[in-house]
Amino acid sequence: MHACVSEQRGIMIHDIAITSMEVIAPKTPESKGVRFKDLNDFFDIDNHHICDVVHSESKSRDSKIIGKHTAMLLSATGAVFKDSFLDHYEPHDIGIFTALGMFDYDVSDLLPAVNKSIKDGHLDYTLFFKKGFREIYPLWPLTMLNNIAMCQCAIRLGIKGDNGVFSPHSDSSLNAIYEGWMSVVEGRSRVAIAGAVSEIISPLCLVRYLLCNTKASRVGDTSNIPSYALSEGVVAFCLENICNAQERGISALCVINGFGASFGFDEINGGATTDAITTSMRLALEDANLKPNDINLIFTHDDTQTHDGHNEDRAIKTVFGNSSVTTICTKPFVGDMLSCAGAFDVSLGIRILLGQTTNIVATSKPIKHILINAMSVEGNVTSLIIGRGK
Amino acid sequence: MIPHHKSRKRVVITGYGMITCLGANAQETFTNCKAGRSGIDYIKSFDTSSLPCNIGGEVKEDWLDKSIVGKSLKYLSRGALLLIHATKEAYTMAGLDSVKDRYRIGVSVGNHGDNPKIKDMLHLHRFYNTRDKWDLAQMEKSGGYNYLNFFKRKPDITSTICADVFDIRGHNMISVSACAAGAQAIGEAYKAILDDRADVFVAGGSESVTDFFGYLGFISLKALAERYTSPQTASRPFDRKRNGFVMSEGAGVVILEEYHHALSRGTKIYGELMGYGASADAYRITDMHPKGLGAIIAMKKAIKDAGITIDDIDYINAHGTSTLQNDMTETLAIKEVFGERAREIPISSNKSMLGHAIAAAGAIECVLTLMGINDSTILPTINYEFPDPKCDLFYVPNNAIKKSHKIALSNSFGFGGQNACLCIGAERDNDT
Repeated sequence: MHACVSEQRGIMIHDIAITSMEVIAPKTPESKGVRFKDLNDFFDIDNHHICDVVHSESKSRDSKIIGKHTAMLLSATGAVFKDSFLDHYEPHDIGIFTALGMFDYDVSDLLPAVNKSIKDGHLDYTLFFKKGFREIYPLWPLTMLNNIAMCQCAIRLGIKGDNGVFSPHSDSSLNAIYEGWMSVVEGRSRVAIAGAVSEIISPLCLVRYLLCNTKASRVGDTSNIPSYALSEGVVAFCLENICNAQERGISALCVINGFGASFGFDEINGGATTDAITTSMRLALEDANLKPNDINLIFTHDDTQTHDGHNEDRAIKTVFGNSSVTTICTKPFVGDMLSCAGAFDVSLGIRILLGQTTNIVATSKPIKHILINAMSVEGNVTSLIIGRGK
Repeated sequence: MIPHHKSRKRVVITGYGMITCLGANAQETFTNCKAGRSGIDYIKSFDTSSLPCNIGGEVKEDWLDKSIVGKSLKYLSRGALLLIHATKEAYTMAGLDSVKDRYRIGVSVGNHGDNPKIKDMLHLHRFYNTRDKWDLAQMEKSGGYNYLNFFKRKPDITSTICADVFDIRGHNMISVSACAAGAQAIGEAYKAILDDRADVFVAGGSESVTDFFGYLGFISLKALAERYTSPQTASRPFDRKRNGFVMSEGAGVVILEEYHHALSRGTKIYGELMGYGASADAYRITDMHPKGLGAIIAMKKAIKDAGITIDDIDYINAHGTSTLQNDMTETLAIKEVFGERAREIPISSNKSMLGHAIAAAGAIECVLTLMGINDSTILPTINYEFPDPKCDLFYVPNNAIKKSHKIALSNSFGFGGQNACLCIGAERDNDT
């Protein structure tokens, strides 16, 4: 595993640990039993969760382009930065990797411009540019670029190191963690922040979800589709060399053991194929130098939007055989956070490893290693294994 | 011999492909760039009469072979179609059909998906009622709305359909870091091969936002060239009369491969990706750092990562957007990194001929840099007529030069302050 990487790249490697995390989510897994009847149901984050950021940014020159997406990411990464005392590092030694959901325009940003551009019941493009356009805030286009949220974090926190932005599904959150991890392993960063933000629940986000979910059934009747409500959330982690952390007197919440990724689109049912999911989990196990029996708990992706659930079940049986590995899916409890879902599962896994949550997993065995699966609708699969910190 | 890290894996380039406003493939684009031609013209795909900028670099419709995509066409954004076109060229060149383990091939792409269409917005929002809910039944009655339109806005559609079309089953990543996305996607793929996550990566970028919404956005940001005497002379990086960039579309793809894997397949090696550096300006969301600090960090990191020194760099493919700020700041950054050598190193901007293809730009420029190395040609910066005292380096004005060179840097700097730098080297002796 990492030792090979270190020999290959000539860098001294120790396990990389997650040393702090911040989670903001409207529902917690402890609120067990939440079910959704109407696809129009959703859980959004109340602004009081991010009020510090909203307040402090309200006077900044960028306040008009700091939307909820950015405010959520700023809030979580800011907390992690502070908790891990990252101001002790040189700015170019700190990396930042983020996963961001789809960015949608805010209707209120554009509606006045459109209203002033209607002629004879139709949109008049000449009128739009000559008249309506003035109603649009000049920097508004920046709110449509995914990377701007990450750049705002870099600006506010003074981070100048290695970076990357991935989008838009659950797999992107594990990709962000993996890239942060590797950046530290390779010595490109001394410490890295990995963050993931869900899609912001907007009218467009909802209609996208509704139409995609109801494509197979009569429009308007969603009663026979077992799906989870959309949910907002943000998670951020601090990743660093465990020895570094120990020297700084910071304890590890968990270590990252391995990562796997693959692609395979199920042409018939949608989502990832059994083969792709099997491969991803096997690669993660191989990377972690672990056997299937070493895994005590699996966070399944299973969003039930596609056939992922069935294919994932089959893949787990293929890889883990009849071993008594426990599986858990958080989406019935917290909703579907899309691009943040994988990272949220990692955060919950950490709490389980730390013994901070007891009513989620019914198992008498000690939990040492947890595997988390995260996928995209189009068949991207990622798997991450975390273990107890030393 | 080219200096390099002896202690680690090598990532070589075994194929490349391109589609741009100057050509349907890599060779055509390179030949036209070598001749100093511009691919910029008046926009034909939509009515620009109401806009202050009416020019751009469009890919000719009849260059695109939609049959490659087959059944996935219904999901496909134009950016994805461009990517698949470029990938086909690169894939064929590298002979990737011979790679048996398809899980050891990955895809890493920079792309942002299609822009929303204003007509779509108008149609859709009629069904968003006052109770803050969507009335899908009413929408259905009025003819419905194709949910596949949403897929075209998703950035990951490009990388996943590309993987599906070419039966690539490994790690699949999409980078959305604005103008740095193409170079970052190549950098991420390079790192994944070094870390043994894959033997081969299809890496690059694609973009097609030359539409009303795209223009509206960049006009709003005052980033586009609005004063020009002809479309072909509008993009003029480092020239004193530059006044903004020119939008274009396209795609660029490189096949990155672990050196010994490439050797074992007996495939031709065209060059090597020697190093990669990324950084953030952490300055202002609308402006580059005035001294180019982020750009400096990215270039230094790429040079260090390649295990070489500034003395080894023979050429710099600049980000060179033709905006006042970028070209001046990039010049300062190059001076800071290279010191006195900055005046000796040829620097040029492909955007003078191709315009700025946003997420595709870094990938296209990576391919052109590599082709330049192999052709011993340094591509020019065209439209360089009026020297700017603040941009006082050697920008290879107007005509390509014939010069053997082995190692080059390719810069890409994104809106918001994300920077990426690739270090590209010639094919070298089998000394590892």
